[in-house]
Amino acid sequence: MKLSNRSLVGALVGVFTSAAVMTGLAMPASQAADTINILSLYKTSGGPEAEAMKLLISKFEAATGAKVNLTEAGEGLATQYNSDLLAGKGADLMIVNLFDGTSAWLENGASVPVDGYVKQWGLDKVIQADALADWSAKTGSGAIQGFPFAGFTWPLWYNKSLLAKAGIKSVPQTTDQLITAAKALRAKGIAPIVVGGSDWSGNKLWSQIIESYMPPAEAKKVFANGGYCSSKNAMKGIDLFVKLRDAGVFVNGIEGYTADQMNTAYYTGKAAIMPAGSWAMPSTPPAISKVTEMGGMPVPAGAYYKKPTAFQAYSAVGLFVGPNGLKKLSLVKQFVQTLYSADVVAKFVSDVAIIPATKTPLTAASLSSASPLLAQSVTALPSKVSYALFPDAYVGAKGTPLTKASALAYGPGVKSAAICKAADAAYKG
Amino acid sequence: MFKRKSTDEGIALLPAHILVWTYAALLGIPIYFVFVSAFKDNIAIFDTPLALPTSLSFDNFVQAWNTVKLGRGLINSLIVTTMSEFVTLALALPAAYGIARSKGKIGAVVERIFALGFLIPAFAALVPTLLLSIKLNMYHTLPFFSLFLSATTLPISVILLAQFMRTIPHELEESAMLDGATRWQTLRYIYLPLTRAGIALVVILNFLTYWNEYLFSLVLLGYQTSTRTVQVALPVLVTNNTQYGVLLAGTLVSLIPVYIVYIFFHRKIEGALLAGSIKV
Repeated sequence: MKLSNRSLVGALVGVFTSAAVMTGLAMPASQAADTINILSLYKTSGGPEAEAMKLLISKFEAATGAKVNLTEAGEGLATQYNSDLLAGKGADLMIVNLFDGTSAWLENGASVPVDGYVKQWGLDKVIQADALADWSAKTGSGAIQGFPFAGFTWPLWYNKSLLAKAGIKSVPQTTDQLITAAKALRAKGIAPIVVGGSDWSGNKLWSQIIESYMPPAEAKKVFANGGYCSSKNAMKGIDLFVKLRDAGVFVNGIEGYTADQMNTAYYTGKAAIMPAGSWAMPSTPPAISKVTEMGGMPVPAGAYYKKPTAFQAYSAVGLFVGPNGLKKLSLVKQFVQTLYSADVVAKFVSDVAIIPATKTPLTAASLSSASPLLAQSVTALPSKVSYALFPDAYVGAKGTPLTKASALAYGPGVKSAAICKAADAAYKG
Repeated sequence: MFKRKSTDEGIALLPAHILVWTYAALLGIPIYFVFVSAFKDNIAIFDTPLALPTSLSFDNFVQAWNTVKLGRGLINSLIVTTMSEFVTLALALPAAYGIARSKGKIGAVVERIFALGFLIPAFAALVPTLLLSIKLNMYHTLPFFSLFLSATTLPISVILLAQFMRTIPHELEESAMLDGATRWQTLRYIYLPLTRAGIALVVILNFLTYWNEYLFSLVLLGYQTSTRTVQVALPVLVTNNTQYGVLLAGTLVSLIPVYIVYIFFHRKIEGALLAGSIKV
C-alpha cells in the first residue's frame, strides 16, 4: 500500500496531536493537596520489593484517602529531582539511598532536616539510634538528612566446603591465617578471595583493610578529607593491603574483576571467599547458601579491631523530605508512620532481605524466609565480627575517584606510596 | 591462464577477506552476546558469556516489559523520534535547497553558520536547555524535547542535504522555471525525488540520534512513565542486584525499531554512501 502525501501529513499531524494530549496528561508532580508525590528507587513491579511497595501504598491510601503519585526512577533519580526542583516541581518525598548524589541535598536546601520530626512524631522510639546516626554522620550538626529505612550487612562469605577441601577447618581470624588459607586453596586450584577489584565492591574491601589500624575517629577524618599518605595508621593499612595482595590472597587478575563477576565466581564455587552485602543473599544458589559461613575480614596483630571486620550501615534506603513535602506535612507524617508499621517492615524484610532501621525484633524464622544467609548474618555474625566504620557517608562525592585509586591498588606490583598518592589525589580538584 | 590469474587474485585478496570477516565477527559478537544473554540468568551470563542459553524462556522479556512499562516507553520514543524527524526535514530541506542554489556570499555565510552548530558541545547546552524548557512551561513535555532534538541535528542535516542538492544539474531547475514552476514546486518535484538517497541517509542518522538519546531525555522528560523514553526506562532495571538477562531482553526489544528502520532504508543509505564515494 502506497502512503499518499496527504495521508503522510495526516499521520504526522496525528502524532503531534497525540503527543500534545499525552503531554497534557504528563504534566509533572500534581500539586493537589490530597496527592503525595514520591520519587522512588523502589518499584511496584518487577523487583523483589514490588509487593511490599504495593502494601505500603495501599495501606497509606486506605488510611488517608490520599493518592500516591509514584515515579519509579533509576540511577539518575538525583538528576531528575534536581531538575524538578529547579522547575519548582520537586517531589514531596524521595525513597533513595544515601550516596554522594543525595547526601548534598540537605546542605543545598534540596531536602529538609528531619530530626525535629523524628522527635515530634515519636520515631526516636521506633528507629534505631545507629540508623539515625548514619543519616546525620555527614552533617556533623546532629541534623538528620532523612528517615533511615533499610540497612545492610556486608560480611565476608566463606565457602566452608571449599575451605575443607583445602584442609582449612575454620574461618581465618587473622591475616596470617588468611595468607596460609590462600596458599592452601591455591594449592588445590581454588581461588581465594574474589572481589570486584575494578569497582565499588573492591573499593569497600580496600577501605575495610586499610581501616584495620585506624580508630573510627581517625578513619572518619581520612575518609572525609584525605591524607592517606600522612596518616601513619592509614599507611600501615595500605602496607597490609599490599602484603595480602602480594601473598596471593586475591584471585588472579583481581584488578579487572567487577562485582557481578565476583558473585558469579563465588556462586559457581570457583572462589572460596567474597565480600558481599545482604542484598545479594536472596539470589544465592541454595547449594552455595548451605555451605556458606558469614564472617569478617581477618585482622592483623596490633590492629585496632580485635575481631575480623564487617560493615553494617543503614544507608541502603531512606526517605528524604523535599521542601514541597513541608506543604503536605500531615500526609508526609502518615506516610512515614505507615512505612515504619510492623507489617510493612516485615514484608520488606521477608521480600527484599533488608536489615530494617527500626527496633522491630527480628526472629530467625522471619529472616530465614528472606534468606538463611540473612538470618545467619543477623543472628550469628554480630558475635564474630567488629563493625568497621562504613566510609560512604564521609567519602561523599570523592567515591568515584577513590574507586580509581583502589582499582590501582589491586594491580600487581603497585607500591604503597603510589596507592596513598592516588587516594590523596582523589580529594584534589 | 585466466584460471591462474583468478587464483592469484584470490590469494592476493585473502588478507582482505580475513580482515573483513574479523571485522564482521567483531560487530556480530556483541549482537550475539546480547541475544543469547536475554535468555539467561546472571550466573550463566558471567560464567559462560558466549554459550547458547539452556532454554528459550521469554520470562526475561516479560519481566522487562512489565517492570519498566517498556511499551509506553517505546510509544514515547516513537512519538519523539517521529516529531523530531518531521520538524528537522521540514526545516532542513528548504534551508539546504536555498544554500545549494545560492551563488552569492550570503549563502556561503549561512552555510558556515550552520556548520558552526557542530562546534557547540551538547553537554554545554544541557543547563540552558533545561532552563528554557522551564521558562516556556514546557518542562517534561514531548514537543519541547522534539524541538530540541531537531535543533541539535539541524546543522548536520542541512549540510548533508545541501551537498546532495548541489549534485543536481542546474539545467533541470532552469527548465522547470521556464515551464513556470515556483521555487516550492521545484523543490517538491525536482529536488526531493532526486535527493531521496540523501534524505534517507539523514533520516536514519537522525533516527539513531533521537532513538538513542539518554541524558537530555532524562533531564527534560524525566522518569515518569507518561513521558519517559525507552532509553530512560531501561536503566530503571539497573539496581545493586541487576538481573542482566532482564536488562538485555529489554535492550533487545528497544533495538527492534532500529532494525526495522534500517531494513526499510538500507538500500537507499548504501546508495547514498556509494554516491558520496563516487563523488569523492
